[in-house]
Amino acid sequence: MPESDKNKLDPLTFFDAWIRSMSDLWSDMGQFPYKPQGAQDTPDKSGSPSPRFGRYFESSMNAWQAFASALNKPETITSAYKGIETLPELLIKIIRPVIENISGMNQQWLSQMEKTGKISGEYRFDQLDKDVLTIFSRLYDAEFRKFLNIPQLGLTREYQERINRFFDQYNLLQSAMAEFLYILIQPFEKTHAIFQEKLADLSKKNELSDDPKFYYQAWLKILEREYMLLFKTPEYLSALAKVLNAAAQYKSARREMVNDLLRQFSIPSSTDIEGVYQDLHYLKKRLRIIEKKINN
Amino acid sequence: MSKSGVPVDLILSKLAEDTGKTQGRAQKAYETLLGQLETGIAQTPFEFVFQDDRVKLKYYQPENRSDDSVKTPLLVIYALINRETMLDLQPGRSVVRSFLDSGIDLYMIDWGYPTEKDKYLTLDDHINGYIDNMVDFIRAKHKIPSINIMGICMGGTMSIIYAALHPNKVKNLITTVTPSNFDTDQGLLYTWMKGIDPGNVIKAYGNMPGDLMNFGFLLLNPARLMIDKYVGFMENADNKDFVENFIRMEKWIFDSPDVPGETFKQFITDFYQKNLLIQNQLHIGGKFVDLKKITMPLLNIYGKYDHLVPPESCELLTGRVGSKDTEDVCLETGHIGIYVSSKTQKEFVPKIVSWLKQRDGVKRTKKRNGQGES
Repeated sequence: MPESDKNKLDPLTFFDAWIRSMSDLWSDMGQFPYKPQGAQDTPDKSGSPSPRFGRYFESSMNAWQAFASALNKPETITSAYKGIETLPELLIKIIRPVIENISGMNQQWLSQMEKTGKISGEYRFDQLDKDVLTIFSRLYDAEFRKFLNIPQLGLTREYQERINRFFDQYNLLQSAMAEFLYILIQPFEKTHAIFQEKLADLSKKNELSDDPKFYYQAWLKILEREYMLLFKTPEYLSALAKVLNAAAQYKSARREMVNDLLRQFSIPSSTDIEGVYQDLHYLKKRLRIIEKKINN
Repeated sequence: MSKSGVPVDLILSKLAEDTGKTQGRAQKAYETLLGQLETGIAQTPFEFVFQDDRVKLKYYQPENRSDDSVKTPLLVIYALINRETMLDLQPGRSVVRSFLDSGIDLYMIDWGYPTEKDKYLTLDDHINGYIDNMVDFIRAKHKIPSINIMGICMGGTMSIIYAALHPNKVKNLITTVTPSNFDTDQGLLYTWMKGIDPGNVIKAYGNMPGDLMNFGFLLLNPARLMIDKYVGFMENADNKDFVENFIRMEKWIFDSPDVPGETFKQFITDFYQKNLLIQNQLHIGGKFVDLKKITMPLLNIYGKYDHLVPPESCELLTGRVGSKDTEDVCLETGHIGIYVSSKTQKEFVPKIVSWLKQRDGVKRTKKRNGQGES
């Protein structure tokens, strides 16, 4: 047998030894008479071999021994070990698409950065790489969001769902915000490129100025125009609507989660107070109508 | 000269020449900013004469009345966005002061700061509730059947609705930078508002946060409003008058009350998205807002360079109302400039005062569509 095989731990032997030692240990423990610390050393009048705790212990030991003997069968151990062996494989299967997506995102990002450097696209926003704007949200949707949408079970199901919804909406808000800010920065990048071209043009015409304000005003004018054009593009309008919607959904999810907490402390939640406000509003409105009728 | 062609050497030498001057200015700016600054706004004396919930009615009493002064009091209805203090920003550029100097009894609605409990207030509550109560108060106090109303921006839109629903209580109507036609692509606000879901926003925020709206207004022109404006401030930080006026304006701009949720939702849906008012299809509080019932004289003033309420949004109104006595005035200024620029101060209030004088004391005897009053 090679040296490496000698050092290798045989899982079957290890598992068998562990089961045996555990059974011995708990069997020996069971032999001790139950006697709480400080108790008198008097015989049990009922004649029972052990007090109440001992009986429970004995019953538990019997269950353990039955379980251990089943586990100790070679076919069970082999099956369990196979399961353990497949665990890393399973993890790799889960992680692989996530890593592939991140790598894909990185590549697209680099490609976009390259494009931005190459194309100035004067006063145009139709060449905006839409994939870059949505890539994080697509990745989150495809790979992460599903974990927060795993159906919850049991008594605390609704609370857990609200907590998960809060985290989900928070992530969606971050994603929408990132897209929105990315779009907002675009005019600066474009202005930089156009400004360079303008300088080259002025230089050719020999119209350059030695006044720094001249350059600032020229840069500002380009930036202003770029923003005006950006704000009318469908990309901007879509990102604006998305970020507003995401912020609204996030606030709503946060409120629901906080409301759960407040209820535990008998503190009126915003939903409770809103009900009072609504009643108050209708009462005042009815009062106003009656008041006007009386005055007229 | 550098490779790019920009005379960097010349620019640097110019900057070096200016270093001495800059140091002196920086020292003066330091002294100005740390010194005593007079930056108070809304300094003209007034008294609160009526209050309905958080909404108060300000009364400005004119010091000098003459025989030819306008006798009918004027109620100014400001927008629910920002505050009415804009009309009294600084001495020498105060619309309030100019009206008082001409002898007009001036009333102005202070909408206060809506809180969460106000989120269910609708346009009906504002128009047929608060505004109507205040108009009734002024009518009773002066023992007159109708008063003059001047609306500003969204307050102008509410004034139009009020005049259509209560024509017998309005003697003359003046709308200033008032949006009435929302089907335009001239202003970014109109484009943006068509794409948002106000119900969703209100569900989350309750009221529409003033800060969020202000951020939206800054985004209308970030190059000027977020960069150039403050570059200008730094360049003039050694000028005490400039600094004081700049801070007054900053105080006003960022003093933004929240807008009651239901009102915001209704305004975006019925006005920006459906454009019901100018199409004569609007209902408020279950009542039809018929523009043809606006039979009193109407003066419609707007700014040629207004990027918030462009001329296209204002100029249709006079052709859609029932009144034959209408006038459009387009001033060479923007949305705020109409009230605060020193140039328009010489045109804006004098125009309104002379227009009112011509119609003050004139009784409307001819009834149109059965809605006129004598």
